[in-house]
Amino acid sequence: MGSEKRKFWLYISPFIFGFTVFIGGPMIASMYLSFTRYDVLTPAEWIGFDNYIRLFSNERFWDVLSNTFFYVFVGVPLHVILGLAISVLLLRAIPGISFFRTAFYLPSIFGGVAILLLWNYMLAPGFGGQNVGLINGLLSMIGIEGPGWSSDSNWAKPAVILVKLWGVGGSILILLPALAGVSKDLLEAADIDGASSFRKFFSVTFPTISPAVFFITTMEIINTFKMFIEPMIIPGLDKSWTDTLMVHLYNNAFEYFRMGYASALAWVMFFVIMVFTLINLYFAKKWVYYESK
Amino acid sequence: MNQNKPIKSLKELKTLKGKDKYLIIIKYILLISATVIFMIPLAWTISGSLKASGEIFTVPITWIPSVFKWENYVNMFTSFPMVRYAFNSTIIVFFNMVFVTISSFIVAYGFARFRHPLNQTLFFAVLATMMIPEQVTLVPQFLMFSWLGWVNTYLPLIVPSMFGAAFNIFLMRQFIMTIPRELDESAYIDGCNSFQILTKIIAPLCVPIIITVGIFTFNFHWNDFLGPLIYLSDPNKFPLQLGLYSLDGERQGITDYGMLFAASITALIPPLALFAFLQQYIMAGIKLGGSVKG
Repeated sequence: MGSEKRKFWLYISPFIFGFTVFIGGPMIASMYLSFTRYDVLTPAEWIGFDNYIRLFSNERFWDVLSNTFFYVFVGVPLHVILGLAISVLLLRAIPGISFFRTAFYLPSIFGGVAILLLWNYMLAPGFGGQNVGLINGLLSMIGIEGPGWSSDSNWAKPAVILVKLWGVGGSILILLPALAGVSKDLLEAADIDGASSFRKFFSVTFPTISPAVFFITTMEIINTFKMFIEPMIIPGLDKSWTDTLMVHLYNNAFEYFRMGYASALAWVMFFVIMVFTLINLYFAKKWVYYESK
Repeated sequence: MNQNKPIKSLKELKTLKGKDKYLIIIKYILLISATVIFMIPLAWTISGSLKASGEIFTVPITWIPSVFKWENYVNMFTSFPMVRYAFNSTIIVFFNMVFVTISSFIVAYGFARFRHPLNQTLFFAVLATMMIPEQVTLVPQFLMFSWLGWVNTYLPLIVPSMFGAAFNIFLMRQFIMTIPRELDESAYIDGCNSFQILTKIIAPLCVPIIITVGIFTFNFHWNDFLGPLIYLSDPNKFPLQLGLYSLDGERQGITDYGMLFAASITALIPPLALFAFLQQYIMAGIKLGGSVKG
């Protein structure tokens, strides 16, 4: 038996080492750094809560915080609703369904700079018929003059959300199997009772798939709070329209070398994400249905 | 009438009557228009990559280039270090795939097969690390790697993969748990030690999950931006995504949009090829959608 315990430690040792060196240790260091002024060149200097005070009195922080909230409160619900709507359309096996499923999934495999650069050009607003990107080009075909997107303070954030929505396919991959698991018998029973499609969806289908909906909502909230690459590649004309907490952290740590300030920001982000996850968990009790209950 | 009954052929489609017929027509109209909306960005950019720069941003949109400018795909090699960047990306992706798959698999095996009073607790710790946002560890990790003199090398981008990744460990452990222990035991009686059981018995049965983890790893590192942005400053070491970013960063000097489009499209090909190659496997989850219901 002693040998089994030894083998356990042996096999999981890479994780223990990796956790200590790359996660646990850095977390403690980050906590310490957040109370110091450290610019890499001169030794860290203990300044107490100054970084946190400076953070909350920094106008830029409130800008990026409200931008991030906008992406979370507008982008995440749109993502979940669109994902659900498309999944419902894709559920029934009809001729050509594999093609449709592939078409909706495909955009989600493109995630890097390349596709965002292209989106940046697709969103080119165009002035006087010059430099018109795809979106406003299409809108002009139906007689609508498109907005200025990134160059307009009201449209810069929706532009980012639009681009993110194109990658909804990853969530479809999770929602579709969940929809397929909805009990056929329950749906038929509801049919016999004369329930409308609408009623069937909210009384039978939705409760069954609610754990999957909860899962993608949680993941989307966390990922949106950490959003970085989209505002970096598709920034507003004024970056304060689009920058997120993560961009603010990157700028401070790796452009201005304010390591202490950046660490304090990281912990504020950690706290905000934690609070949101807990709120989400709390409300989940009210609408997420688990079979075992 | 069950509205989710699969329809297997066009012939069967034609037999539909009344309400069912109209519903299916509406469904096809919705599906086709949504598909067009989802695919138009790709169509526009592919067409743009074959246009002269002046033609890309014109209205009305020309879907078929008036002159096919195939040179865009040649120019990206001559006026942009495409080969260099693609090679750098390949190096980073390859080592991450190999390291993270092997290390996560070994750790997952430990959690799945060896009893220890702390097994459950530590496995919970693995799951908890998924919840720790990486921005908290970003700054100290950077300071550590710069103290080691690893900045501007690939080591900070590769070495952490040698110690497993929480999500992969989780997926692989769940998969190994489904393999009957009797297989291990009979191999043990035949004289295999625990490592041989891992490589000869467990690993061949875990090919599906190994492929899944491989795909995730490939896509993550091929698209990774923050890591290379922080750690690499020498343009010769840039992976493709960072190379494209730096090219775009000098936007004032770049007017050859056709070439930029061609280079960006090319950067999308590897994930696309991997998807096409393993499509059957990836879409297996989606396939469930049609067959389970009847």
